[in-house]
Amino acid sequence: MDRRSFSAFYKANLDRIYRYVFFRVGRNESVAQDLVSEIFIKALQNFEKYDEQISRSAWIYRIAHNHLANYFRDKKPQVDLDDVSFTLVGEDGRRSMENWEEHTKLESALQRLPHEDRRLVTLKYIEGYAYGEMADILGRTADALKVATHRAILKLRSILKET
Amino acid sequence: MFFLKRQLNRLSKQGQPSKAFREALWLKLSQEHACLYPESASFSRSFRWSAVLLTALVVVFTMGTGVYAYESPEVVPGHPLYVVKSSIESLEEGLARTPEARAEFHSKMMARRLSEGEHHLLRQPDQVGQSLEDAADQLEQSVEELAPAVRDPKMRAQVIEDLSIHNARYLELSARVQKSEVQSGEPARLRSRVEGYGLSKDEQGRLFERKARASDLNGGP
Repeated sequence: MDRRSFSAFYKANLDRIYRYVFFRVGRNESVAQDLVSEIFIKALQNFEKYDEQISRSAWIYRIAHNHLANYFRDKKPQVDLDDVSFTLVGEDGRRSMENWEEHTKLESALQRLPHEDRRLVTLKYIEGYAYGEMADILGRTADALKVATHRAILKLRSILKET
Repeated sequence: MFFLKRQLNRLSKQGQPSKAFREALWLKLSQEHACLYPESASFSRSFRWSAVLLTALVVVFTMGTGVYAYESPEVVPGHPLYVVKSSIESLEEGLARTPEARAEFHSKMMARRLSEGEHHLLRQPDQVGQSLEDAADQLEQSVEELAPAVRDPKMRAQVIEDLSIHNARYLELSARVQKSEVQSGEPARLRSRVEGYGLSKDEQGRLFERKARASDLNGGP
């Protein structure tokens, strides 16, 4: 297995996978670190199956999604990953945001978005994926996702205006 | 809309993994890699030694030409003698058996790729980007050898000193082909190449302490 290509893969995906996990485990840093470590070890163990030409970021995203689903299943049986997605409040009750009120509004607006829209906004603006990569992950075209994400942002803005 | 995207961006930055975690995880993955693929290192070594024998033969038959090809920055990819130059470099790489020697070898190769880039600048400026990319690869490989394995502080300091000179040269050359630093993002790109290999903060600081000369950045003499 080529160590250098794994190194490039690691650098390209670490931040995004970390964010994906971090915001779904109640911003608990130590839990996020443990889970992300396990996810990348799993990726390393199966790296020979990875074909960058085919899946780019989708492969590690799927591993992360399944790993997180297992984590929540073990923690609380029959939990739906969508129900716990994007929780901004720390498990320990801490809030480290610079502007508490602003982010509270954003948090509640995000939670009020339909699941699919929330997924697009978080993939694009929180986790930082390009439309091409989102297309791999979601199995849709990049152009369609661009339009859908723009609409989701408009919805989010209008929810924020209402509050 | 812009304000909303900025808010989301700010939120995104809060989910940034710490540098300590990033480095610790990479170390853990390196150890896991060594357990999973113990043969990969020895495989590459044996492959390297067969390449050494082959290139040694080539060198014997082309001694005079070989010296010219090896020494001259004019021998760049596409030149008829570039194969000879690459072969001698492979031979040299094969002879570098210790992490210290390999770190020094890659540092030297970074300087050579930069010389080629400087040569391209006058004749084929469109090729400079490739030379810079190759030089950055050599920087990364040198740090990869140096950071976890070289214990002698003098040796570490020497390699870092050499690399910092090459980095300044890299930035000068890069500035000559790019309109602005903002467009190229080269210093940040170069830094990101060496992250996660376990260099200390001080070593990373020294690696990038030299700046490209202002006259060169401004296109002066």
